[in-house]
Amino acid sequence: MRIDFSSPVYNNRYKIKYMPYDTLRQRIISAELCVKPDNDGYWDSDRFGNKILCGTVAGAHTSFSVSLRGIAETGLAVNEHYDNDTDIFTVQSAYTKPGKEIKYLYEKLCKGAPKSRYDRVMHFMNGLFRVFNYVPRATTVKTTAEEALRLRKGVCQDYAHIMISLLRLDGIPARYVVGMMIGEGASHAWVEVNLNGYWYGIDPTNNLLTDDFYIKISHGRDYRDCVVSKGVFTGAAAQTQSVYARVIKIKRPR
Amino acid sequence: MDALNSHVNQINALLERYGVRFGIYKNGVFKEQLFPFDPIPRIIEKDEFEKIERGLKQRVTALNMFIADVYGDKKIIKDKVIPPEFVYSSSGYMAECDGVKTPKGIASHISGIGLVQAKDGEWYILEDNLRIPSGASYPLIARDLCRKASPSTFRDHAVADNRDYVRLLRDTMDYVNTGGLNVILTPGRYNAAFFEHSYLAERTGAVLVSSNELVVENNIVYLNTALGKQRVGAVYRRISDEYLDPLAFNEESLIGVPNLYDAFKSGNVVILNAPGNGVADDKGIYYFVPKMVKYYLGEECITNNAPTYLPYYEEDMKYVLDKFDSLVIKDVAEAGGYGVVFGSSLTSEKKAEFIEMLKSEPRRFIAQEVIDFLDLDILDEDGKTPVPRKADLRAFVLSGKTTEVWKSGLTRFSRNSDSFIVNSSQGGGFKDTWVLSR
Repeated sequence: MRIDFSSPVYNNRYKIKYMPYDTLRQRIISAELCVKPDNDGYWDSDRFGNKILCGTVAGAHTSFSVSLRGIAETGLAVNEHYDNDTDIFTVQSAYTKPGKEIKYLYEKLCKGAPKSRYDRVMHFMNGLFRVFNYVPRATTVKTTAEEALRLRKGVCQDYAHIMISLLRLDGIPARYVVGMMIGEGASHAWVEVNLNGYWYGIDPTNNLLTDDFYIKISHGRDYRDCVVSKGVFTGAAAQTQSVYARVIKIKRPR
Repeated sequence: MDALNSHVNQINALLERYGVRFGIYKNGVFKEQLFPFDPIPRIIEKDEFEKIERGLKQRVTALNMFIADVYGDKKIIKDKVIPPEFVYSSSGYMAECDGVKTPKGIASHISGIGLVQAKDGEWYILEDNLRIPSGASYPLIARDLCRKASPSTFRDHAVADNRDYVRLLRDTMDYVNTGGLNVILTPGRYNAAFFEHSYLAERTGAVLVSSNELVVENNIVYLNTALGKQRVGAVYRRISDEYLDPLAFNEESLIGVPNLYDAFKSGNVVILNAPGNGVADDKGIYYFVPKMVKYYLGEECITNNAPTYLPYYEEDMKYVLDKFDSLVIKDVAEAGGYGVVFGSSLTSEKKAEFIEMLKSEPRRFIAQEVIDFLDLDILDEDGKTPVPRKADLRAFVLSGKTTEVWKSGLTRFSRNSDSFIVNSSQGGGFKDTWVLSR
């Protein structure tokens, strides 16, 4: 993650939510963090258990970057830990609040929908995949699920928000996930659904269940809870943020 | 009391001179207007106030327990007393506050509870304001001026002295202070209640600061002064949650103190009132307050809610549609007298439109029976004739070592005789509130 400033800034206070952590499905074997300019950072975590790197770059600088290199072992389980405290994920949130479009799609998909919860999840995901198109730059990070569905096009963030909205309408707890996957040049977003107390990953952009190609970084109610970088600084400068992620498959280390 | 009436012009002139103003934004333009004072006080008998006092203490105690629970164990949701929708989809719910314990377990230190008295003499709670209730300074300064204008009035009537608000507020700050200065954090000159911020700072000895004077280092809050940095132990903030700390809440905020919330989370400073309180004074949650009192305290709720219906429940929706014309419908997300609709005031076309919206978003609204307000007299513009107006009372409850109800309060009245809305942002005025001491 790198931010370039058009002129020098100082007192840059940052919070970066981009550190994968151990879960039932993945284990972080090594992680090497490099923050430039160098400063004293510290770790915090949010109410969802996501890790946050915090700190301040006091002196003048024109770029700020955080890079992370490491090895994660994935695909260790098909689901996450047992968790029955899911109320907060049953309620629609700012990005997922359904309007006419989503309610209409939901009602349409309910006709002929299977009974079991797992089958319904798959049915909704298939249904969304059929009507929605992957088109980069058609939407922004501020686009809500309802707005994206009206356009019928968007990116992984939009697929995830619409999917979550449909699931919550159906009474199935669902949460937003940010992570990385093999083949993507940036971060990826997908969904976790809670079935009988266990969280399972589904990727509505690719109409798949998540597997060992996925490394999870954070989760929350929607995009808001998983914003990668937040910061305030002193100085009058325009900023450009870029996130680059590369995941390659290596042999299982000894 | 006639003495006061004859001094009304003098008092209003003094209020103007002291800068007792109320700022409002109208069509995007900031305008300051005087908050007109009416000399006829609202008088509350001793016994009557004692009952209100018991009720408010109980209510605020339960509300504080609710806030601690919602951001803690969530028992009241797990026990299905309050549906999760009413907590998690409330605009005042802050996920960032989950798991954060407030110093000494108090979240709402200064609560402003809105009451109205009905024609039958019964008092009803209209709303709870647990975020940044304003208005305590107006009756304070008005009483001061009245005392100057007519000292004999306060010798002849047994009126409880209201000057102890300053002590109550200072004690509350001192009790939760984690070591350091007390400061009052104001959004600045262009805020509706700026007069009050400066007045309360001056009277309590707290330092009036704006956000660029505070800095957080290693999760400790400091005030930058000409003499160097001084540690801050309590921040009585008069800016709303989303503008408090751009790193924790609204990143686009230009006011606010970066990392202030981290300092609070670490227990190094106290923020009065705690962020996240909005979850408990939501108009939707209001319906559940009597249930909260029962749940947390095992007592019957002493205060009366106005009879309220939640269209969220099917049974209530049926009632609301049935009795639509006799009810007042409120949008839970709005405040300051906005988003309030009297069923009877709508044309049939507007009514159909509104009902459509109600059906598609039932969680967004509450419906209430219209209370038959007891009107209070105010002096008409001629300064002689008493004319009736709708009025409410904002009572202030301070929670520190103990929970205390201030023996006074802000009585606001509507500007026009046909208006039910008394909010100062809609042009009303205020009166002094006398609580009799015998």
